[in-house]
Amino acid sequence: MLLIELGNYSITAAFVLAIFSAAASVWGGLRRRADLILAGRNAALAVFGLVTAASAALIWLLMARDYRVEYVASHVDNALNAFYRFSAFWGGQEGSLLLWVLLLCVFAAVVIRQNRTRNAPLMPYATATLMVTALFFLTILTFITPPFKTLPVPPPDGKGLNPLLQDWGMVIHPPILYLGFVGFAVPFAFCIGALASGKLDTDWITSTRRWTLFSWFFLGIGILLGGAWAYKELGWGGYWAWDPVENASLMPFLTGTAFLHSVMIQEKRGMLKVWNVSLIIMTYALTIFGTFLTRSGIISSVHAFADSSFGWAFLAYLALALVVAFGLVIWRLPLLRSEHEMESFFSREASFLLNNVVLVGMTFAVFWGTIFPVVSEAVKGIKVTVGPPFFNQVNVPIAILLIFLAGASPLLAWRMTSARQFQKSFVYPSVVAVGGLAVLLLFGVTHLYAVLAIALSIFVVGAIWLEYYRGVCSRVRHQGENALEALWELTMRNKRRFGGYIVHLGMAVLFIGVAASSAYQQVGEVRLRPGESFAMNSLRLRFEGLREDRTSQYNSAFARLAVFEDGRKIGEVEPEKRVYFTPPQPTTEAGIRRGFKNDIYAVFAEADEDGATFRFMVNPLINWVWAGGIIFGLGAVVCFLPERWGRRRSSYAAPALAE
Amino acid sequence: MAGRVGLIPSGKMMETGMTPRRAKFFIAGLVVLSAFLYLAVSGFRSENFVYFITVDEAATKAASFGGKGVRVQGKVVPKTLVRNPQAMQLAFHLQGEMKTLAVSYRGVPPDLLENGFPVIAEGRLDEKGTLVAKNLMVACPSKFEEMKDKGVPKEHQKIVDQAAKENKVSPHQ
Repeated sequence: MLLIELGNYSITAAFVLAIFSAAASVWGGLRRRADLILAGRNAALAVFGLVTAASAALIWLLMARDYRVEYVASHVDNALNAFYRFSAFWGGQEGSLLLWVLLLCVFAAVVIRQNRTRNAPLMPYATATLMVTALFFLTILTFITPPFKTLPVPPPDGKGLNPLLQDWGMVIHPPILYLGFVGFAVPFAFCIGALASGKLDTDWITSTRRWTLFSWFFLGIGILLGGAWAYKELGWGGYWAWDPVENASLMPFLTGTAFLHSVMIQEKRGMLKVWNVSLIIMTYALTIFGTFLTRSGIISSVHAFADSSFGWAFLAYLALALVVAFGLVIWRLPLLRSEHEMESFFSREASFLLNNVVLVGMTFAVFWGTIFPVVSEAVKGIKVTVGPPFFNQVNVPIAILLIFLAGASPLLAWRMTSARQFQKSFVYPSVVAVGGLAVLLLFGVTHLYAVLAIALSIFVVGAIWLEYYRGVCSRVRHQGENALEALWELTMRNKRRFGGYIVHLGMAVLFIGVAASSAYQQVGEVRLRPGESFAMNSLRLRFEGLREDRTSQYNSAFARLAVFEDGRKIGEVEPEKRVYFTPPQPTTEAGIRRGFKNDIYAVFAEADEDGATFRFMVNPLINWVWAGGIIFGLGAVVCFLPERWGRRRSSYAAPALAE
Repeated sequence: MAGRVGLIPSGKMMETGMTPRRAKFFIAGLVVLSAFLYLAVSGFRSENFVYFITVDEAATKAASFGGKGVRVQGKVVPKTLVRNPQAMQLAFHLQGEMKTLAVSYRGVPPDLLENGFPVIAEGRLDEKGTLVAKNLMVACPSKFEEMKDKGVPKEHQKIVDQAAKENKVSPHQ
């Protein structure tokens, strides 16, 4: 009982202290009262301590299977192992909201520690912003869905975890996405701090650059993991369905990407200030909106396991945040003037701006498509969705433009690109891309969008190759390093630039995978008797028969299939049907034979005495999507590393000579 | 439109008016925006729409939804499920409040179809008023209490039993 009470009181106390912290910080900031600012800061740290205590209590209760707590009884059962009991912390509504606040409070504590002496004018407002965000979630946890609610009669066994979610990918997916969602609160808080204090130089941007990267990285990885899980577990052979919950995580990723690019223009050229503050406000709002979409179940979707009544609380908070934030922007407009003007179309800043417009355009299209069912229900009384065709028709051409920009932008100079520079940097990548185009056409790849996307991805790779090649050559010539050393040094000395190139490379690889696997997926549905086979181009699948297997948790039936390519056996796939014992839930596990060229994806539909039915898919280049994702992650990590990290010791002594 | 904000420093424009350079960027911005708008509008066509309707609406107003994408949710009327594994087809009726709706589907059926959970069928209504489903999903219960009451799903158990019969190469033998 002690732990339950500890949890309850911690949340209530955190709620009260968050109010105090926000109020004291703002008041202290306005009146320049150091004592109040300090009190606000300490109160924020206390909120962090209390929320940590509450989270620890909930985790402890889950581990101990204390079924007196309703949350524990609903998300854990006697059969569930320790790993999944721990992950049940974020497996349900209340716990995942508690995780949200926990992450936010951890971030707030780190930010406060990092900025004990720095950013003094804006810190009180930044602290207040973080605390108001925490307050919102604490309000829900205190009044609407208390996680420590007890049951009058504790049941002997809990309800357990959906077998579909018993997969390590699904276990780490939500916290990773949350790291991204919650992390964007930090740059937003600094933006509000800058607006409120009037200190609108680039400090708020440079101070939070790593936070932005951190959040963006985790959001990207979270989205990819979600896709990988859907591909492996859901059995429809794809990884992205424009599901509202997928869109909810994509939208802040898109605006966050735009923000990462456009802040560079502000740092270099003092332009786009209004745009940058608007972007981070939008990104923050979209993370709150995303949490709302996932948690409220307003738009029914396969992900929305949650149905809840706090939708209005989210919308009210969202409206409040937007009104206050944009109110501050309007108030500070005179301080947000550009220091320079755009000069040429063929400049880095113009291409970045176009990239921004493209990303925000995509965000609006996704947003509109996502909320359209709700709008149509409210306006016309009938719920209408637009479905994947709408999202694809709008976003695919825009995405193709985006790939082109990923290659072209880094080749353009700031302010203006001279004809000579233009020639020097564009000729090789263009030649390579045209060569790639010719090869594609030669091999009969004629799907317009796929051809464009792949050729432009090749252009991106060519452009990055050229940049690396030049940099490496120059270092080899001037520093006497070998090519590998030069490659390492080049990247480590210009982490932001070359890390960015690696990200672009990952994106190009990913888009090649997306283009090929969506334009050239082959599907066949067939019924086979044992010994019969089914052919798809050069591939043939032969049904060998069924086999049974059992584990402690489920029984399963496998369909054994031999895979032949050009008559030669290259492997096997074994799609599976499982029946879990408790609860007696069936699942269908696809059999996937992964490969560089393509994946063979088999789903086992039905079986009886004289045969079985299958759905077969050949997904070309689909593993390029995941490979691109890994490259993307590596590049983001390079960008994130500390400036000094990874450089050779010898060059510390004479950094000036290195240039 | 927001893209223009950074380009035209507020206030300053009022003083100097639109220089040719600004006009150039303004026109470029307009071109980009109209292209996006065109894409958005052209994608926003009624054949991409899917109407969420009830079983009763689908059964009574089939004509007005003819040829349009519809999405219907309901429970399978007991004993109406007919499977034809050879043709990979199945057909059943969905229970509405007043009426029922015939649904046909070709493809891999979802798990849990026979366990009495709500089924979501998405497709088009044909001239006979049958919903020809392209997608078939079972609305999964998030709480397992219900599932525990339903017992072992029989279509799966059948397959596992079948596999046990011909089990020749189990690694656990």
